[in-house]
Amino acid sequence: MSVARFSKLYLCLAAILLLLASNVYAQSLRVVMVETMPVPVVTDHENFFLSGLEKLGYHAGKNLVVDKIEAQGSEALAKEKLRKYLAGHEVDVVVSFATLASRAAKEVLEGTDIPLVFCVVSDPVGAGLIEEVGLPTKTNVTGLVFSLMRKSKMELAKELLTQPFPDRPVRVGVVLSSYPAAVNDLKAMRGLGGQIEFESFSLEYRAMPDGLDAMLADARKGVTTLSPEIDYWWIVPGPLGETMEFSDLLLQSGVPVGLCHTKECTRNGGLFFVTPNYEDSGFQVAGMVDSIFKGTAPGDIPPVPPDSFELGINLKTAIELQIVIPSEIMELAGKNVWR
Amino acid sequence: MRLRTKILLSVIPTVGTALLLTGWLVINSATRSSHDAVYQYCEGVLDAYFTQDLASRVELLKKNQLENVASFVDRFQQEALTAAGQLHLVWPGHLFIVDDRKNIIYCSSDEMSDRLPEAWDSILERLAEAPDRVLKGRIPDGIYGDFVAKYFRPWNWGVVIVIKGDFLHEREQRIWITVASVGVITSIALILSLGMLLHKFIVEPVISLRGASQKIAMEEAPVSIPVKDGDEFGELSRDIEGMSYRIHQSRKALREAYDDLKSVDEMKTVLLSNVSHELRTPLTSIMGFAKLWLKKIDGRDPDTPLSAKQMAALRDALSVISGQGSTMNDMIDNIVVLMALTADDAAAEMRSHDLVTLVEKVSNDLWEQIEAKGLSFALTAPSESMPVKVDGKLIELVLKHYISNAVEFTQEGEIEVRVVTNEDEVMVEVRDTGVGLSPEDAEKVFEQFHQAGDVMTEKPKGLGLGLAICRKIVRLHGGQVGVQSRLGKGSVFYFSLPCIDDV
Repeated sequence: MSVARFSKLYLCLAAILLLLASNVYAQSLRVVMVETMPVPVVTDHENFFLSGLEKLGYHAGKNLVVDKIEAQGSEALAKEKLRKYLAGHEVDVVVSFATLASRAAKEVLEGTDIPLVFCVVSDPVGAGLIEEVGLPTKTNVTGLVFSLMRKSKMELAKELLTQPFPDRPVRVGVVLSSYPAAVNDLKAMRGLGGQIEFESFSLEYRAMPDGLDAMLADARKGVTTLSPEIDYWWIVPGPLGETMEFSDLLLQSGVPVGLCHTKECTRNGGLFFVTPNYEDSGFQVAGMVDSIFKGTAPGDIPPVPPDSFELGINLKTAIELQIVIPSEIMELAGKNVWR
Repeated sequence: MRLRTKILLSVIPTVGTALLLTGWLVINSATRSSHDAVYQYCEGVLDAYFTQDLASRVELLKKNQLENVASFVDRFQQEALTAAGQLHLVWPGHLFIVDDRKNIIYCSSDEMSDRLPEAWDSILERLAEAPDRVLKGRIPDGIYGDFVAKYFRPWNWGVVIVIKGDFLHEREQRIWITVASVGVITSIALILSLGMLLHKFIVEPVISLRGASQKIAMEEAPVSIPVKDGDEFGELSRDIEGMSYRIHQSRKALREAYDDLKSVDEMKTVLLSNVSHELRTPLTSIMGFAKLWLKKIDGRDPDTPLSAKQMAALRDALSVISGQGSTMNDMIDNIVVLMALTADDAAAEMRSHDLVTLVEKVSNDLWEQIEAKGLSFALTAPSESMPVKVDGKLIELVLKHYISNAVEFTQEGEIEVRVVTNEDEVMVEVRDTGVGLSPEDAEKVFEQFHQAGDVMTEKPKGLGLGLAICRKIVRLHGGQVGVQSRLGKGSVFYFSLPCIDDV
């Protein structure tokens, strides 16, 4: 048998294998994750989302292709990278993590029928992603609201923070960036305040992680300005609140941190935190994507708050502040009680 | 009193008494169980709604090392007391919490806290003595009913749950009403069921048996009783059926015996009538001749000898007297033979005889009569001798009757005796060319006292026993008799005898 014949045989085999591979590849579903920045809340959600897909039977490399776009805290960069990606790929679902990436994805996908599922967005209405929480959007956008009902959070804060000051309103200080989630949350909380009065210091949001130092410098000014006037610090959602550097800054200010945004902040001396349960949230987003894969229109899936939340309390701080944690709250906190 | 009434009168008091006893036991048991259940319920309420809650709060304090932080302990205790205040939503009684100095720190009823009886002291003392036990009991003054108490050691609290007396009373009333209702319904159902069962299993069979016995008394046919169970009634009904069948059979046998007796009686009447008539005829002749000659002898000289003519006349008279005497003798012989054959122990003396010889002997005896009538006689046999095992005298009698009848009823022609044989039997036929028999006579000719009409005189002769005797003799030998005849054409009388191997 001649070499030429062998060559033809090999070519035929290669062509068949290529055809099969391309067929498998064509049958796989494609998900692209757009990440605002690699802060813990985002990366945790990404990992739990992928685990959720695995549990639902979607395995990367077999029947699923997952690609990730990193926006590095920049909305413009997110838009640019996503547009470029969509030009070269057919995407089944776009999943965006945090507000900036979600806003960018919504803009890029405007006018297409590619579904967008957002998560780690505290105020999707304020960010312009949806019109109302809990109702079907009738667009290509749905997602999971990264917040428990603000009313519940406020009641919990009142129950705890007002104990040492039964005769007067409690003053809390908020240092926040211009990140939309932070601004919108403070606005909403002020509306529910009542016995809790909010004093705020705003600073300009800069893309993370490069802009963190600049934001911290501004934050120090805010701490200095607000410390004499307040009883507690109150950390609102957003990239700045996620960072250890910012929470440490507040913890070392001499004014107790009443409401933290992360578990670490509470463990290090903050009074309490309450956030959605990351693992359950990741799985819940995976469930939404699964429904879309199975033919449900994203516009028929109402954006909802997470099913479960995580509560943490620092008892040492509570005792120091002469705050008695009710047994119900302590039981809800479960393992997240530190002393 | 009817059986049904008796059964009902037995069942109702029995069931009633049984149900009363059962009801009493059930009420006692249910009341006790109810109290136990109430205690358990109290204990459960105490445990589920209070003790566990206290324990979980204490556990939470311990877990977070807060058991010595007074603010937390106070708060948790306050929460527990607030929770206790909600207990009335699920519990119809009262709750008291007393601290180790007997101060009431919680009481769900202000009225009761004002009227705390002395009994509380003893309850609290007992609680303090046995802190790990659950105390149960009835409050002595009886106002508030039962109680369950427990000591909660971590906080030195005595927790007492009291069941309201009216609550217990209501429960007991409910038990009474339930048991009474169930008892009444059950007794009615039981009485009805038992009545129906007893009616089905006892009354109905008894009624069937009674009907059957009435039927047996009224009717002759055997009865069938529709009780087919395998129990005593079934057995009794089968016995009665058997009994009725046997009664039926006995009745039938009695009727047959009665008929036989009636027939015998009728035969006796006929016999007496025939005998008296048949005996009177020869006797008249005998007595007439005898008187005639006595008169002649008495009126003449004894020394004068009789003339030849007178001697001939005397001889004729004596001949008639002898003949008529002989006829009377034959009649009496026939009656004796018939009586002997009719007897229960009648038997033949079976011996070997030559049938041909017997026929020849009888024909020789009757030869004078045959010749007197100018008839020819023939004997046909397959061989010169035909050995048979019979009672010779009796078979001779049969042959004599057959042949003499043939001679008597044949005016001219011949008489033939045929002996034929096959493997099983020997047949003797006596053929004549005589007057023959009508079919009616042919049917009855072998019956006792039946006499065929004399075609010449229409007057029957003899007693009508000859052929009946023949039939009895032949049957005694195991054979059969018969006749084939046509009126005016002659007859064939025959009889068969079974062949016996050892002849």
